[in-house]
Amino acid sequence: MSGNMDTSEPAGADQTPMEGSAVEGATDKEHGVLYVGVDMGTSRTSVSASNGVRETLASVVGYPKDVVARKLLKRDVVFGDEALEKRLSLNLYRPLEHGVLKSGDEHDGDKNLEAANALLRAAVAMCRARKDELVYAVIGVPAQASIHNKRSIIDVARESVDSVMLCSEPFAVAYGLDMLEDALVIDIGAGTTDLCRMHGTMPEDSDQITLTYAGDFVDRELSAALEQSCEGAQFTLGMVKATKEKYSFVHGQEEPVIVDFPVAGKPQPFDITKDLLESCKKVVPPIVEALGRLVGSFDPEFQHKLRSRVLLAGGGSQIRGLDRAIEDEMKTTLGGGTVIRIEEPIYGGANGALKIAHDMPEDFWEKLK
Amino acid sequence: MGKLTNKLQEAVKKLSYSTTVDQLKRKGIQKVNVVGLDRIVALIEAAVHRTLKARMAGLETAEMCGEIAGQTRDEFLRLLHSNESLEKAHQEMHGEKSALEEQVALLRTELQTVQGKLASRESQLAREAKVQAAEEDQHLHEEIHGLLAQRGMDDERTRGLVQEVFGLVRGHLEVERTRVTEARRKEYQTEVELLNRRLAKLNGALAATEDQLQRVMKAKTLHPGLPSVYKKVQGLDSHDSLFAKKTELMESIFEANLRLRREIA
Repeated sequence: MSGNMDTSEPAGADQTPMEGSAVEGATDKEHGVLYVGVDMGTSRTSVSASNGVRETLASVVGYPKDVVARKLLKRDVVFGDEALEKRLSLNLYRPLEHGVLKSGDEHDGDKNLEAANALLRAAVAMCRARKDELVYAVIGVPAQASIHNKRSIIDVARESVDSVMLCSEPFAVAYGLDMLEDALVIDIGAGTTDLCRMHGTMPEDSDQITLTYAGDFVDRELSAALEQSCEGAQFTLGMVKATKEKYSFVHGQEEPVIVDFPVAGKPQPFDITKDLLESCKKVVPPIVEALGRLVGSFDPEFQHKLRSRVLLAGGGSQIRGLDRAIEDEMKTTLGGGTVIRIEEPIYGGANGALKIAHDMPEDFWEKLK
Repeated sequence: MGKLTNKLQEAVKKLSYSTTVDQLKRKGIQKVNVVGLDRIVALIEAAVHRTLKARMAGLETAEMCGEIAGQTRDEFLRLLHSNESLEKAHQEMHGEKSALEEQVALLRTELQTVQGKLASRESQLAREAKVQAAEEDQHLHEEIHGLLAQRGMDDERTRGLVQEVFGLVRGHLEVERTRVTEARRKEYQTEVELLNRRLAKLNGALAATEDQLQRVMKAKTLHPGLPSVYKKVQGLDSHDSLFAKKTELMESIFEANLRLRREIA
């Protein structure tokens, strides 16, 4: 997979879900089948479709706070990066936490489910499906998502597509790359890091490990470190996340990372190189420790093969030098290994899910309608 | 095939869109592979020829080959044409929207002018009436005073009488003024009615145009959608090198999902 361009105008997250809903109002669906691969993540939701569309949006849904905000925004619901930009006028919902749908008290649970529903419909709408086409979707879910969560996702998805299947996210990444045997996938998201052992058959629970050492963990660690080292600096977790996404590294950084944070309203430069490095590095040992568990519990004859094909995917894998840092840690604790960073970390899961959707036989789709 | 090649090149150009390095980075794309148009065209042509050759092996006649190649070309051109039609409709809608927006802007300006004209005329009338009344009152007061002075009634005692006479005459004068104002109003009534009718018409036209604009804006967002490259459900390619393994995996995924549905139920 390369960075091929989709054939659409880039779809904005401002499109209301109903506008692009494939199922809404469809009466005749004999003109084609649109496959959709969805990676619904804590931080971003990405879609790949068989009409060439590939889009990603922040997993954030906002509802206008009052009538004035509603009039100003001219919409009842705002999605993605636009919702983040206009957050002061909105009640914001991030319906996913640790890669799964949030459940809270009765009211919040309902609101999160409603937001997740809207988010998934917006994601499907971004695919710009024709009304006369069947929409078959495969959604990647975290390796160890609970049945309650899977049910919620299915309930939500069934309103937007004709037939839906769930599969493990890291498995989808491996399937998309045709690495079905003797490979280990590390899918680093915002909420969770999923590890999956591929050995030619469907991964079982024992082949998969989910860690919470992921993007959000790094944000929190970095925020705590900056509070200590950047005296008087004012920042939010969102600012820390944006800084991390721009400068994160664990290897090969020669220039110091200097960022401006306001101090009593006036921007001041701070050198955050050390804090950034230390915070990002904290995810490496638990990941390699989990890799060790998956390798160690595998057939000893093939353990070296697993170690030599470790795939690094997910938005969190964009930390510069992470592949090298994991290799170094593997050398120390596991006697070596090779880490391969996939070319499109953000779309790896969605591309894999799309490929699974394509390869699924017709009768299977029909039975799950 | 020359025509097809040109059409293919045009299609690839039309279907592509411009992007920036920053936009790509935001989408998480750090590296892009570049393929030349000529290469794509050559690859598609080669693929079509090879497939035709392979599928027709042992059966081919020149006529059949020609027929299939022709059908393929027609289908491609049909798809291309449908894409062009969509593009055209989209552009037309854009044009219509711009025209309507201009019309709304014009109507708004005209409405403001008419409203301003009405307001200015009414305030001018009121101002003129006020000034005229003050002048007349002053004049009347002086005449009454002059008249009584001629009769030797200009001392302190007659000052109250002057005021009383002035008040009496002024009362009658006000009645007359109201009559005159009404008469002048009637004089302008035709013009005011005309302006009011024009105003109502403009308001109606504005509302209708804004409605139309809303409809076009809404229609613009109702994109007919991008067709999938598949007309039928696909399934695994039997020539896939991992066919057997993938078949097993597909069954496993399906069974897991079926189990999940049962558990949910």
